[in-house]
Parts: sequence; structure tokens; C-alpha cells
Amino acid sequence: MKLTTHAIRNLILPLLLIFIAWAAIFYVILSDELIDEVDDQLEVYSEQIIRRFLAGDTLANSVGGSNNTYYMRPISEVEYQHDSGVEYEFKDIYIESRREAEPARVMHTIFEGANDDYWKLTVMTPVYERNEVISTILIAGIILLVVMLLVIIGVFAWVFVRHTQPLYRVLGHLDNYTIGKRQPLHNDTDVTEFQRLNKSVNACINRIEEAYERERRFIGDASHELQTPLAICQNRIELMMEDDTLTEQQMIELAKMQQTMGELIRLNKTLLFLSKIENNQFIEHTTVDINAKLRLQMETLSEVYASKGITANLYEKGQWVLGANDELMSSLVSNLLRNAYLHNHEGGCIDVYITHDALSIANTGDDAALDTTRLFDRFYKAHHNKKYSNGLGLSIVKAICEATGLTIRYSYEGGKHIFTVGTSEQKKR
Amino acid sequence: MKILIIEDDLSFQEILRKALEQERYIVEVAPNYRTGLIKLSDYTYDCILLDINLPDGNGLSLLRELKAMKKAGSLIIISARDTIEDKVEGLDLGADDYLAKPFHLAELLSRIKSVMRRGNQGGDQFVRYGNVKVNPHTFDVWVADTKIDLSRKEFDTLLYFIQRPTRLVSKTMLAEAIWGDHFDDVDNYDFVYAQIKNLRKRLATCNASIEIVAVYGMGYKLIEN
Repeated sequence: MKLTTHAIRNLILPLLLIFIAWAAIFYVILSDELIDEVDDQLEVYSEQIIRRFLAGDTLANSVGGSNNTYYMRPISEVEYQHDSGVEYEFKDIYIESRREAEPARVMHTIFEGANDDYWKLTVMTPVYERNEVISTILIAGIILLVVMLLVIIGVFAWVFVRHTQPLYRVLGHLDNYTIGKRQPLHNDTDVTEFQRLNKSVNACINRIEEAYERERRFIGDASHELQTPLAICQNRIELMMEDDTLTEQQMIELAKMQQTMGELIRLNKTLLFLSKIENNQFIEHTTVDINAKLRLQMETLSEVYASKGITANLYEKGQWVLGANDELMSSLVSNLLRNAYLHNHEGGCIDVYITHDALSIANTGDDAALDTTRLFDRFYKAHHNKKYSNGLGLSIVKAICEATGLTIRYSYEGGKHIFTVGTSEQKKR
Repeated sequence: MKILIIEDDLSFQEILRKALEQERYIVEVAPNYRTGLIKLSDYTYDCILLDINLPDGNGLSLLRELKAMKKAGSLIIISARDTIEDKVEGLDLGADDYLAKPFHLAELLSRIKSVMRRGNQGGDQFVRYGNVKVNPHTFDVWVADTKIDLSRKEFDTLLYFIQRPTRLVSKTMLAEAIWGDHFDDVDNYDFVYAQIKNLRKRLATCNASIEIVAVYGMGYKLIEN
């Protein structure tokens, strides 16, 4: 849930509780005050009556104009002793003018008469008017509180949303960030915490970019460094092999070392090549005729692999000419074709289809589909001990496709492994 | 023939010196820009092998200095850098050839011979061995003054061998040189063997005094009968 919603939700509850508590306390205090006032009046009224009675005056009418009423009754001495004295209570009494029972405040008191007689006096006054006053005040108060609550939440929400804008800007920047583009964050704010956030985010981005840059260059740099020691080693073996005093066995061992050195050097060259492709170092574009490359390479390959008895067919359904780097396109065609020959069995077949915007190479070979999740990974080999395969061929093909805006797909159909290279628009079809 | 090697890696310098001295060249060495410049100013060489990555300066600047001095002598750049841009820059500045490490020593020797042959005005444009001479530019081959016809691949193979007489050439090196960069790692070299067989037959029927012989099953070399 959004931050603002969270904050508001957590604000409403305490506020509501506080307001309710406040309202309750207010009501109680107000109520008490009003009742105290009524009780004071009753006290005064009762004193008046007692004074008059003791003085022997005629008492005021039981029903005074104020709707106050009283009554007295004589009590025994024993009752006088045991009575609790002044008592207040709420009671409904019948009001004649309104012809129904209404709530009233009642006060009981006892006093000693002039003739050693004891009396209990009860005075009453209706309180419905006062009750109405309290209700009105309470309702007004609650309405005001609710309005205040809403206003507070409204203001809070507005302020909160405005002040969290920098946060959303940072999130937006990070969501859209691509490594390698080096886009610093622009987020003007005078809030200290967000300024700190900006600084941290930018510092973090810089660290990531630098690490990425170093890693990108690493393989290229490492391969480069390896070339001289590799050359030295190979040349030393060559020199040794010129020595006539060596035995045949020694020569054979040296020849084997030469072979391994050759593999090392080739692997290094391939890694360097791959690194250059991934670092976009092949920027020169010319018009490349894929059909021509296919024809040339298939001719040479059929000669080279003559002993394997493979039938290769080229079906030119269209002419594919595109603007790309010539060296990369040669490598692409070469890698795919050589794989088709290398991973084929004796007497197998290869079918090459080319249209005006796609190339597809199907070859017989292994009886099972290749692992598509790892097929294009570096150094992935379907057969671990396959010689003459450094596992980088398809990685190169993939890197070239990515650098040129092409797509590569693999499928296994009808017992044949099929690699298809096409343009990105094709994928949408 | 005097050759100057300007190379900072002493191991590599030593190997080059040994290989060249075996071919009866007289060899001088310089391990850095400064020494190289001094030697170039004071002496003349038939061929200079120049490494671009020197510790105290860029080899290409040295090349410019040399051209400014208008001294004779062919120059081959040897470098770990392999890009087209580097090669073009070197050759544009006046180098006669550009070899990227790692390279076969036989390759180096063949290139040295080639640039020196080119450097000699009115020099021999043929490559000769025994009673065979080959013109690399016109693709003509003569055996004892009789012109013979060879297929493209046969010619390429013969030229490769005749530029490296008596040197051991492995099937891998041949595959790479004649069929292209990616054909040195196939799983079967029968196609190389087939080619050699063809060429041997031709040379034999034409009574050439040179012959391609197999060496310990590791490769071949061209020898004179």
C-alpha cells in the first residue's frame, strides 16, 4: 500500500481516539458543571423553604412559576438520626404544564423543626431544558470535531504527498536506469534526508558503473596480456623443434605441446574477439551480401569436410543484403556453418535456407534437442570432451546478433537442429 | 644481412635473436625507445623489427623518426595489438609489414625475406628453390624453365612451402594459411593431406628437384633432393 495511505491510516486511528476521548471528557465536564449549577440552585431553594417554614411564613406555592416543586413530610427522631442527610438524585416527575413525566433533579434534606419535630424536605426541578442544551452543545462539538478531523487529514495528505515527491523521482530514476548509460540523478530538494538519498544513490550508481566498466574491459585486457607470453612459449617450442639432435619421441612430444599451444592461442584470440564484439568495437558498417558469404564458405567447408560425407544444400529463396560490419557477418556465417559440419555425423545432411531477411541452418546430429537455456552460454559444450570446440562459437553468434540488431533462435524439429537468424521486426510477426 | 630488433620483452628478444642467428643473420638488439633511436641514428640495418609497445615511448613515433632520417632499410612492426586500425596506421606511416603476436617463427622469417626482396630495387621478384621458381604476383610457376599449371589451392600450397624451405610446417599452419583463419581447428585434416598428395604428384611428374616430405607424422617440409 502506498506510503501516503499508510500514514493517513495510522493518523486517523489515534486522532479519532483522541477526539473521542476529548469529546467524552468535554461532555462529562460540561455535564458536571451544569448539574452542579442545578444542585446549587436546589440548595438555595431548599434553604429558602426551611427558613420560611421555621419563621412560620406562608410557604410559596408548591408549584412556583419556575416549575420547581417541593414537598415535606414529618419524620420520627429515629429516622432523623439514621438518615444520610443531604442527597441528590435524578428522577422523573410529572409536570402538569406539560402533562407528562419529565426528568428532574431532586434534592432531599432533613431538618429539625421549631417544636422538636423532624422534617424531610424534598425539592425538585426539571432538567429537560438543560439536557437539551447539553445535547445541542455535544452535537455541535462532534460535528466540529469531525470537520476538524477531515481538514487535518486533508492538509496532512497534501503536505505529505508534496514532500514525498523527491522520493518518487528517485524511484523513477532507478526503475528506468540502464547500466552503461551513466545517467546521474537530478532531484532538487531542500530536505536534508532526500539530499542525502540523492548523494547515496549517485555514489552507488557510480560504483556500479565503474565495476561494470572494469569487468567489461577485463576479458579484453586479460586476453591482450596473454598474447605475448603465449607467443613466447610457442616460439620457444618452434626453436626447439629445429634441433636435429632430438629423438623422434621428443619431437612428437614437442609437436603435441605445439598443438596445445595452438589451442590456447586460438582460445585467447576468440575471447578477445568476443570481448571486442560485446564492447561495440566493430563500428564500421558496409553493405554485406549474406548469400555470397554463404556460397563461399559452404564451398570451402565441403572441401575441408569431404571425408565426412555430408550433403549440404543451399536454398536461396531470396537475397539478404544488409548494412552491418563485414567481419562480424563473416564470423556469424562461419560459426553457424562450421557447427553444422562439426556436430554432424558421418553421411549427415545440412540444409541452408536464406530469404531476404532471414537465414536458417538445419543439420542432423545428436538425437536429442540441445539445452536451450544454456546453449548460448560461454564455454557451454553439449559434449564435454569434444575437441576442436571451445564452447564459444554460439556465444559469438549471439553477441554478433545483439550488436547488429538481429535475433537468433534454436529449435529441434524432425530430427534436425535448426538455427534461425532474423531481423528484430520478424520476431513481432 | 643485419637486423635490428627493438623489443622490450627480453625473453621474446632472445627468441627472435636465436631464430635469426640460426638463419645466419647478424642481429643487434635494443630494449627501449631511447636505445633504439641511438642505434638507428648511428648505424644502418637491412631490416628492423619494431615493437610498438615500448616502455619509454610509442614505437610509431620511432617509425616517424626513422622515416624523417630517410634511412634505408625495411621495417616490420611486431605488436600484440591486432586491430585493423593499428595495422593501417602502421602501414600508412611507412612500415613495410605488420605482424601480430603470436606468430610462427617461420612466418617471421618468410616476411623478412619478402620485405627485403621488395626493398631491393630491380631485385628478383621470383621465389626460388631448387629448380623451381614462383612469381607470387603473376601466379606463374616454372620448373626448370618449363611453365606448369597448378590449381589455385596447389599454387597456394607450393608458394607457402617455397617461402619457408626446410622449415617444418604443421597441418594446422597449412590449414590456417591456405583455407583461412577458422580452418585450423577442424577435427580431421584429411583435406590438407589430399592437397599435399596432389602437389607431390605434380612436382614429381615435372621432375622438380624439390620435394615435400612428411616429418614424424607432425607435418611436412620442403627439401631439395
